[in-house]
Amino acid sequence: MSAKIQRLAEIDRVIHEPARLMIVALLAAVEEADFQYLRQTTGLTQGNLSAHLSKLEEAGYVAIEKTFRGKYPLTICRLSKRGREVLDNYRKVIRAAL
Amino acid sequence: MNEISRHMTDEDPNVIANRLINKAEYRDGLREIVIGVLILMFASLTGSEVIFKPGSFGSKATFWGMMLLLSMLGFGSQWAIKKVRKRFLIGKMGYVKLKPVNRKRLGIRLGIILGLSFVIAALAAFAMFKVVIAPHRGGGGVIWGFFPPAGWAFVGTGIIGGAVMVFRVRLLRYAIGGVIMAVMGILLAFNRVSLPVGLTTLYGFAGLLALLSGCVVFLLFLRQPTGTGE
Repeated sequence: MSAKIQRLAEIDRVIHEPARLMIVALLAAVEEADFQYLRQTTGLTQGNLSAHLSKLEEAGYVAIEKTFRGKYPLTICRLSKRGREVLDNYRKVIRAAL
Repeated sequence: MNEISRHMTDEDPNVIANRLINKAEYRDGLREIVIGVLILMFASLTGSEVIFKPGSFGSKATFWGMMLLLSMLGFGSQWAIKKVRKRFLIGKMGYVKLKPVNRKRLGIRLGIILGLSFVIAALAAFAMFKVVIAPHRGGGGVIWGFFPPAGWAFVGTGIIGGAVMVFRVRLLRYAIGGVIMAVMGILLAFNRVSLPVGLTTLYGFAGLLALLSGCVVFLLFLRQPTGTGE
């Protein structure tokens, strides 16, 4: 039991932050989504979401692609393979510890 | 940190993500409008039995016309909603590409739905037999518990329909609609109206409610400012 609890110390701090965890969990449930969809669905402000996405991109958990659909600018976000692995590991550690 | 993100560490992130995606799907009210139109079509199907004589041209024309419209709307609504969102609402809704459907899981779900529909249809046929045919054979009207069989059909339809609305969509306005539908079914059962009249009233009321609620949500959604992307 104590070994399982000790594993909590291994939790990735980038993904453990609730807003980032929400973004990663949302992206894990879809193929891809744009900035506007994430903003509407999570309820985060534009600046907040932008900052969290930048951190996730820096960590290599989210891939961001800027493109256009007609005149509408799209910032498409996808969860990377590394992001998926980190989320799976996060779930396992939390489930085992609690 | 907002209200949603605060709960992320309390619940399974996957469950919350699916709930948020589900909520986003119903945000613009388009699905509600389609559901309302579908239920109103069912109402006109049962209503045709009240207006036209069974077997008349009007009855047959309404039946086949509605069946055609129902199948078109049933199969085409998903595609139409997708197109409308992509063409007109992308600035407000944002863009999302959902994961491909798991065909095996979908098959199992369809099997369960078809099985349940068969059981409900068999029960309804039995109730119809007791209501329509048995009294003409000199058996008299059958009373089971509080209501005649037609009354139980209203109670069953109201409660099952209400439960589907509450547990399938899990949004407050659907929960309210579900409770209203269940109450309406029980009230109709107490009024001892005939089966076609009762079902037409129940479906008509539920359809109008969904359509009205969908239109209000859609108009409110259109008034929201368009996002800039980033």
